[in-house]
Amino acid sequence: MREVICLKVNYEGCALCDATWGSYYRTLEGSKLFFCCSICADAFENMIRRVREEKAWNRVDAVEISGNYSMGRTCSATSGSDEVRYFFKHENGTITEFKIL
Amino acid sequence: MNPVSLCPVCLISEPSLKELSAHLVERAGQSDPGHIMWLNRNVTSKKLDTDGLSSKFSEIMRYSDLKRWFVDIFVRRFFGEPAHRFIRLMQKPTKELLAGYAIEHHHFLKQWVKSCAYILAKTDSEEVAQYEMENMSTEYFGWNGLPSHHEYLLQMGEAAGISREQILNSKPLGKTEDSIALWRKIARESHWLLILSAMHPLELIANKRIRKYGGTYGYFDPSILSDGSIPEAAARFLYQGYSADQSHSEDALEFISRYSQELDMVEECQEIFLASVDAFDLYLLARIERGDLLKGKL
Ligand SMILES: [Zn+2]
Ligand SMILES: [Zn+2]
Repeated sequence: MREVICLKVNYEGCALCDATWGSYYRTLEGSKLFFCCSICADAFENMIRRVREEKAWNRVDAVEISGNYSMGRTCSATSGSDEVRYFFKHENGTITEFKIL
Repeated sequence: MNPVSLCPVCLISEPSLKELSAHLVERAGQSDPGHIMWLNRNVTSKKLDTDGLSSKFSEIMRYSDLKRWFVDIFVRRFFGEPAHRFIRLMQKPTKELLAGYAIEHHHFLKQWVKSCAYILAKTDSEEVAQYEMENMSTEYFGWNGLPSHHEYLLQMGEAAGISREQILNSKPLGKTEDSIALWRKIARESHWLLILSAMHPLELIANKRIRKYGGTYGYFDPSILSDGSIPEAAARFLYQGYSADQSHSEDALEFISRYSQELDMVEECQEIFLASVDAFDLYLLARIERGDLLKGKL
């Protein structure tokens, strides 16, 4: 049986900002995710890559995000039974600040 | 001239608010980041169809007193709850924040006088021309034997720990550059009344009456002018804006209100102001970012 890979996100709209405008999709961690625009998708993808690097995880199962562009975003992510809380900011999709909490 | 609607993101003109809404819905549907971010910040992050957006947009544009409409939009955006992060930090500013302010604002002021000069060059109104000449002088060259605001700004930077050469030789941060690009485009391409509507209401930022207009905070806590928590030169700079910008911004609102009705340009003036407010929001974040970059270096 093949393992079903699916990244869970907490927003119904754009996986990064929850907006429902736009029509941009990108497949990340095996899931086809909805984003309002390519900048949000870049930020989300770079954020996931950073979490995997920091934690040496080979996959991320779920991400929960709160906050916004100007305040920055506080998140938690899980991989199996492992969990991490962190804060990040981005500029045009590039991560400019990242802190494990 | 028929009244038109201006897109607050790309500044193209549409014949009506309905068609402008259709344009925004179309550009958002194509996942254009600029149009989506503007909708998120100014209208709603929940997707609407053209009719839905058009009716929400008309609500935003509705006014009984046009001057008050400008004030309300501005106060809600920067002084509402929660107030803009720069405003919150300015209540008790650090020397890094004041230095960051000095560097980025130097670049802002360079564009500011150019925008004023464009208004002056394009207008035939004697009173507006007079207003701009006085404004350029007080902001950049000095007036009635007093140093200019720009000079006071440099002195604030020096007192906060950066030299005037550092300020004058600095490059603006990306956010400042992006904001200035919009103001430059408006200055070059737009009618003088639109340039005026984009620029001068921004001076409301330092208006003494912000709290009376419903702001949760003023631009800064007035006690910092005298309690010794900031350098004297910073207090002097802040006091200049505090006392002078009040009349500037309110005279400008008077011009906008009168000329926009005379020239049938009310809606355009509102929309270009919305575009400018968004750029100003980003620019204020640049002042914070610059302050953060200076941490441990002053
Ligand atoms: Zn988004
Ligand atoms: Zn547009």
